[in-house]
Amino acid sequence: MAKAKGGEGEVAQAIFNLANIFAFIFIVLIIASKQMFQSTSVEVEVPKARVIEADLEQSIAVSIKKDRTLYFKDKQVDLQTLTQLVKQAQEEYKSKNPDAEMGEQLVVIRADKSVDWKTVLDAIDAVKRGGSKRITLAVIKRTT
Amino acid sequence: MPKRRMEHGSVEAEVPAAGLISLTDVMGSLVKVFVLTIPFLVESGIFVSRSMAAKLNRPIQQKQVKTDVKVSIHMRADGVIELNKKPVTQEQLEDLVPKLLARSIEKNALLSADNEVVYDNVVQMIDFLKSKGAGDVLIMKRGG
Repeated sequence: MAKAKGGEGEVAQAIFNLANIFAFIFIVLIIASKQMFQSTSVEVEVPKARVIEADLEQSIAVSIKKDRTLYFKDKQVDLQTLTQLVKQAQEEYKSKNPDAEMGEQLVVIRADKSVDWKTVLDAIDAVKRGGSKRITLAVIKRTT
Repeated sequence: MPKRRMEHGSVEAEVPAAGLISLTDVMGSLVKVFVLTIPFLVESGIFVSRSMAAKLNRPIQQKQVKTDVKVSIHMRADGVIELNKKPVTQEQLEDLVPKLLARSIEKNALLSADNEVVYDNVVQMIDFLKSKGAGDVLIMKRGG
């Protein structure tokens, strides 16, 4: 009898541990989600879209905040600096990955959905002047 | 608390794991919900890689680009959408775009917008064009 009780105690302990593990995974996922899903810490509300074409892993993030400030990764820049930094980043990428399939790193424009089109277009132009040809606009998948 | 009857007929002690099982289920469900919502949290991209930030005031270039392009959309700052230089309603756009794209070999579309147009509206238009079968949406820059 004592053996059976001991067995149940072990089961209860195992289930309790399992619940703890789930809770831990959940908390880690919540905390890490921003870092996991974004290549930069710059907060912008990107538009939603149904058609999704590009996976943004290993990309260079260029962010445009609501107040039109421009960021290369996490650093605030102006258009000229952006061009230079993109150029440097692509040269570094090419030297590190001479056999890369696409030849250059993808640049993702993460613009706040409320900014005007000219601001985004100027950023695209600056990136293109930096020698990048693979450019995407960041979106989040629309549910409806 | 519920009691469990053992195979040999004796009533065994309480089932202490019952509450923990629900806890495990709840935590498991939370993790599943989180994992299922990941696609709607992750930023993806719409390619504008082959975008041509060319100037429309260069007639020769424009002619070359437009060879096979049957859909040319301009978004005006006042909200009016022009399809092949004629103002159209949203309903007309939804009707005409697939028909025009069907006539094109490369199924490319040209898109331009006034500087003041909100970025979100431009992305929605790119999304609309791609969802109607446009291969590439070529972004054009207007004006000097």
